[in-house]
Amino acid sequence: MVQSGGTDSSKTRKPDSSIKKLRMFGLGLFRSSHNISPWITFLGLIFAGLLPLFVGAGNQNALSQYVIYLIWITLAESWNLIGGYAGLINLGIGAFFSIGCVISSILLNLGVSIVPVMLIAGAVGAILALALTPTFRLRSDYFAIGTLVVPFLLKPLVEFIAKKSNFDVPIGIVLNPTLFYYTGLGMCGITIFGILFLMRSRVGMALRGIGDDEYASSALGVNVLLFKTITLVVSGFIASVAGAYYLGVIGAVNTTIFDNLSFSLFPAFMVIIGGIGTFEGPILGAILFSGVSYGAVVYFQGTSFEVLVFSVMIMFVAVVLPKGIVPTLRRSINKRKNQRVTPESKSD
Amino acid sequence: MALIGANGAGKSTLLKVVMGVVRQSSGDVIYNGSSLRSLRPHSVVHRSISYVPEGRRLFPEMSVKENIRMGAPARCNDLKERFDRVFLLFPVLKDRRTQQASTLSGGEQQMVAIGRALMSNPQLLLLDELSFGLSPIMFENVLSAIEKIRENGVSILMAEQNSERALEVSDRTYVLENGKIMMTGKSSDLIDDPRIQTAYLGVVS
Amino acid sequence: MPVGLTDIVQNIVNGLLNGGFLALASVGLSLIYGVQKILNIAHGAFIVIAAFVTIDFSILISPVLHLDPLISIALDFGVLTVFGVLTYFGLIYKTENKGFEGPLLATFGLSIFIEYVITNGLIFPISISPTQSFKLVLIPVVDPSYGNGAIAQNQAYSSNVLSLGGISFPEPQLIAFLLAFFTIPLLHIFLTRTYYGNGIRATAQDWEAAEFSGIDVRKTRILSFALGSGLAGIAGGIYAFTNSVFATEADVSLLPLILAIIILGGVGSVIGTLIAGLVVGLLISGSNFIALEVLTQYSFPSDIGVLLTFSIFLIVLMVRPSGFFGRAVK
Repeated sequence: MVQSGGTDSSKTRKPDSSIKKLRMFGLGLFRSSHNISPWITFLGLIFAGLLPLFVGAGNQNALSQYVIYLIWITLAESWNLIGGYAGLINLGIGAFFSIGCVISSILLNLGVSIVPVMLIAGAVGAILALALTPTFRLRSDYFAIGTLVVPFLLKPLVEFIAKKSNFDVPIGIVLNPTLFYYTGLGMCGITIFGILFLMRSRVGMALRGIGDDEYASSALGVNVLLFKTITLVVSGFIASVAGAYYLGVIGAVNTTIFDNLSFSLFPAFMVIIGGIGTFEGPILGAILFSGVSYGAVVYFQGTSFEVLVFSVMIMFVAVVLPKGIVPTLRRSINKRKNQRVTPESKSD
Repeated sequence: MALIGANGAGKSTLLKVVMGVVRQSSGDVIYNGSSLRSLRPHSVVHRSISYVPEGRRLFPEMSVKENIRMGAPARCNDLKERFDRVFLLFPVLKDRRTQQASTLSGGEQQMVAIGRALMSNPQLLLLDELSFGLSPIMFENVLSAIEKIRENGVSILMAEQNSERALEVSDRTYVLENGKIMMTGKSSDLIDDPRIQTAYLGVVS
Repeated sequence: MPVGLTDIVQNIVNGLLNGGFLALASVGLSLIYGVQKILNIAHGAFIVIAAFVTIDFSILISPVLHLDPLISIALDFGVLTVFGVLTYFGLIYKTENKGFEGPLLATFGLSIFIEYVITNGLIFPISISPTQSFKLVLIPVVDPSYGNGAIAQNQAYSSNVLSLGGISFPEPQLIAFLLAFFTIPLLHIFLTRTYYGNGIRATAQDWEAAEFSGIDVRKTRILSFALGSGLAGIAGGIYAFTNSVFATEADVSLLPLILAIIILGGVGSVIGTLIAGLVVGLLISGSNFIALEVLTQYSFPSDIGVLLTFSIFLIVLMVRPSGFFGRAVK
């Protein structure tokens, strides 16, 4: 699990050479200790921050393809908070994302700049999350089904209130690609480390307890409902912010975005592929998932063959790596370590 | 035969290993000269071993008759005779055969569970915590039915918390502790054993 | 526009006819979900596969062999049953014991895969253009110039309509309704009267106890998955005759409404699903009718019926998660 048992053992025992080698190559990320991965992530963010310098001023549009990764990482982080740490399989995160996108379109039309727009959209997402808190009463699979339907419920509602289904960004607003990229990087970094610090705080301790055993936690006096609400609100806030930012990529939005279950399901699957409830899982899953799909788009240019690659990948991961990459790697590394350390302690 | 022992001694686990629910890490289960290892539970049932699980585990939304029917094999020519045998043993169930299983009392549910297990014509009947949630009077009723089943030539292995009654009704008893057999012998001998008396029967010497 | 009694009755008839299809589309997934507690996200895609089997059969094979296109519905059942078994062994068998998310992920991948196959015309010759929709119209047998067969509606052929006292019953929809009304009670009888049907119910209620009773739970799960997929096949065949089918619909877009009906009817309750399907059909057509033709002074959104259905669904889910006909969930 996520306790820092790994560091203690490496202090008391001499780590064997293969693990040392692994750590040298940065693969220490997958050890049971949490100490290295945030640093690697931090380095990754700094590298991403330097990226516009390498890309060069003439080719600023190339940045827009990296922006996609930032959005997916943010969404996956948001999902990991509710689905991974709190253990609530939320399949309706697309509702927050889409509403963020729509709000962003309306506000950009009014001439508000992108960062306040993202914050306001986040606030709307948080309010939506509050409205959805009654779903906590549900059994876990019904919670999943109930949340899956939320975007479809919102679509006619938004059309009814806005009296239109197409939301355009006026031509006058052009976002500076470099600035836009840094905004996304900031959003992504704040999300990753914000959630990391949240999980190390009291809220995080309580959440892990709830995720492990809800009834035991409530018996110990943890206010389960309060912590679940906090999680859903924070998660909804982040997803809406990401949605608001996404508008900058697509330019115009119409309400069919609510019908697109990809925004609900992909974040969940990224986290599942990476490893539910881990720090590295959502980041790794999002990069891998979007990397493979966008890589395939480039490789099979002009066809839709990437969809095939993509679908086969999802099925493969589900069947072969049901626990996700990070926990599987961790388990195999721990197993090897334990075999070496205690070969005689098998006599139970 | 009876298995007795404290909570967590491994009585239920032993029965589950026989049924193939829990996989053993070592050892084997031999029944009638063939191994039951790596058989799935339904195949164990087809080897004429039946199991009455702890807590009855009826199908709550099905009627008494449907519950009992599920114990018999898919193609069954003497279904009616099998039903008659169960209803002869538990006449109460005949009157309630259309009632939903979840609406029955604890004792009646236990009867349905035993009836369901008997429908496969077992030679060995495994009973897990027969006394679970039953009043003493109801427990005695069920036990007397078990006596009748034994008279019909069905071997019975019961895991029981109620050590005193288990010792009284069984021929042989195994005393389990931490998954190991601590004592074994004729029940009539064990019941007089001072260690059993202090540890399981609550007799103060 | 004045609203007459005929309009109201016509509206109710339309709702019921559509509800029959919805019920049939949902009942298979309800069965699978009840027994295995897994959510087959590709269920909607299964329906679209079957729809294209019917479309291709009716346009390519039916006129050549002089077979009634309705026969293809039986074919759909067979094809999808086989497909269900393959799916079970390929994806579900390995993932079903590893939590709720595993099968979800696997079947989502499958639905994308199916969408790709259909939109690219890899298996079905007539499904190539994703933007083009297909709707079959039965050609009456009595018309000798066409022979026996069906025709895609975008080739312009008017639909057969039975008329009864000013109320019209579009023939394909009527057939769909009758099929649903015939199939679902048949399924109910299978589940309550036969050993294997009872085995499915027993496994849904307590699979461990089912094993102790001598039921082969693994076979029962395969059976229920195959049967559920086969029912999606029948629903898909009907879909081809009653709705415009888009190849791109082979994604998850049919799923939310199906899920709503399953929960409203109570998971695993066959008759409940039928009633819920009819109620939702009535609700959609009725509320659309009222919003768009009676209260025309307010500008309601065009899919107010869907909005209402999902709202009711969420409320029911909160208040009574077992649905109207399901067992009480602790």
